Amino acid sequence: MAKVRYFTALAVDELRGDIAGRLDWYYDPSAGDPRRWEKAGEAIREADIDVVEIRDLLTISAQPHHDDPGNAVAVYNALNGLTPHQASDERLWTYVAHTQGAEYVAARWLSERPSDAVKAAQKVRNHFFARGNRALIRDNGVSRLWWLGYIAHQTDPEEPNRFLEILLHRQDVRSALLERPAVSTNPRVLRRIYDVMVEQWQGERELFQREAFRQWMVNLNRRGGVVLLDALSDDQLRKLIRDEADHALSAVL
Amino acid sequence: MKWEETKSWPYPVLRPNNDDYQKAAFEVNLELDRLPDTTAVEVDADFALGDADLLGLVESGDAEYLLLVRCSTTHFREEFRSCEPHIRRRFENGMLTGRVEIAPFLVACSDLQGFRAERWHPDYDGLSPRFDAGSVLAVDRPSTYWIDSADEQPVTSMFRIAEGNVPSGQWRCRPLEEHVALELSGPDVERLKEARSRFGNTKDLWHIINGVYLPALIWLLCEADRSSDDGDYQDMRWYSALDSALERNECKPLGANDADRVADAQTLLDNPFVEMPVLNIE
Repeated sequence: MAKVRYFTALAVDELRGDIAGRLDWYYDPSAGDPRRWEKAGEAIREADIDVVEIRDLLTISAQPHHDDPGNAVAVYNALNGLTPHQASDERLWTYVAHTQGAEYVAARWLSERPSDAVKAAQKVRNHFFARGNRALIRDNGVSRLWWLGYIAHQTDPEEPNRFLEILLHRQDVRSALLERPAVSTNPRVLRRIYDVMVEQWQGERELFQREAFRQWMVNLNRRGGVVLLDALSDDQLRKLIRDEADHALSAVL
Repeated sequence: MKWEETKSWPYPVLRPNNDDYQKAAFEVNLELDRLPDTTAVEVDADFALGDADLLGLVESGDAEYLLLVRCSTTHFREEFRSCEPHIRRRFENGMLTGRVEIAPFLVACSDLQGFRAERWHPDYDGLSPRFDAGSVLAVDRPSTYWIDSADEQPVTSMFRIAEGNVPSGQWRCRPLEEHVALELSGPDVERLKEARSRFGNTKDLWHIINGVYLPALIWLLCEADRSSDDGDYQDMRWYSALDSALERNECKPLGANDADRVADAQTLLDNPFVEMPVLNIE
């Protein structure tokens, strides 16, 4: 089994500083040597963590966002030896995005190249690099998959695919639950919200209507400003979240 | 729930710089100890609650102490509760990294019917505020810590080159929360970045380290020493990284009165003087 490899901090800085000079490669990694970065010698370090190569695990279809749930589970399983600390390291994800994940990242996120070189470079910066929390969770083409898989396994360890299918089927649902730290980093709250969503998903799906879902999130946000949700027992939390879902449905429907 | 000193609550909350409670206090002493060579930490919290009615709620089981630990970098959030005024927890290696916030509370365990405290501000006379389960009864300011792994993070990584209102040909340091900005004029930023990129893997880089990073680090160490009593920088990410680097290299900690920071900066940068190519021409 292979070991996890990552770029040095200096290598990441140098790559980020010269995106403009390599734009053609970023938008079509298959055109050059597919293993060019893996030969970078002193720019690469190796950690004692086993890993399965993800190159052949990633799927890109005609509707690539539909592949996200499967790809997230695949990447997480391939790299499930990482601790959250290790998975928050930009050096790791920059390396993976530039090597095993390069063609996937380009196909998923860079299928259209802006004519403006500055905008074209910005897209590369967003999806091949991972500076900051938001970039790790939302933007880097590979790290976002790992973190989706991580959250899915935390919330629904029996059926992580179901979790991802439900949360990713619409952008506003994804944004509200995964990109808002107050919810996504609160496993108990996210789990109770997800329980209600599963019931709805298997039923009439009224709560998934845009206005109803938005109202539900507004209600929860308001309650969370007065009551410390973390302080509630599981039963109290479950009741609060369900009550606010009912209020949202009553208000909208 | 974010900490805001001026947050408006629908009921009295015992908190700093607020008179909802008269002559009462809720203070929490927090200590965070990092285990060497790991990101594992132990957190120790001692709660001091100075209101008899609130203490009565704790004794009756209607309220409890709660410590909320948050680390957005590792997507970590967990609460720890106790009816005793002491909470101690250990977080294993890999669970926390980067900015960690620890917030202490006193919370209601269930709906409190008819609760009143003698020390409420007179403005609450005649009012019957509602306390639901989870209501915050007392809160202290959260504490922020930075947990960074030391592996392969050179001291120079705490500096970031940035454009600033600086005369051409000069540079200046500006400490920010996460890093220290090395500010130069726009054209000089490009020149320095280009030089770093061109010479990054060569011995010529030592000229840049000696000419820019070494004096910047000396300044930063002296500035951190000077302001240690004020605590201006202690919550900043680079501060804890710098202190850790000093410790690893057996130099005096930040705030020491008699430290030789010129020598210490050279130690932290692996004695860059002798690495300059101009000194090693044969």
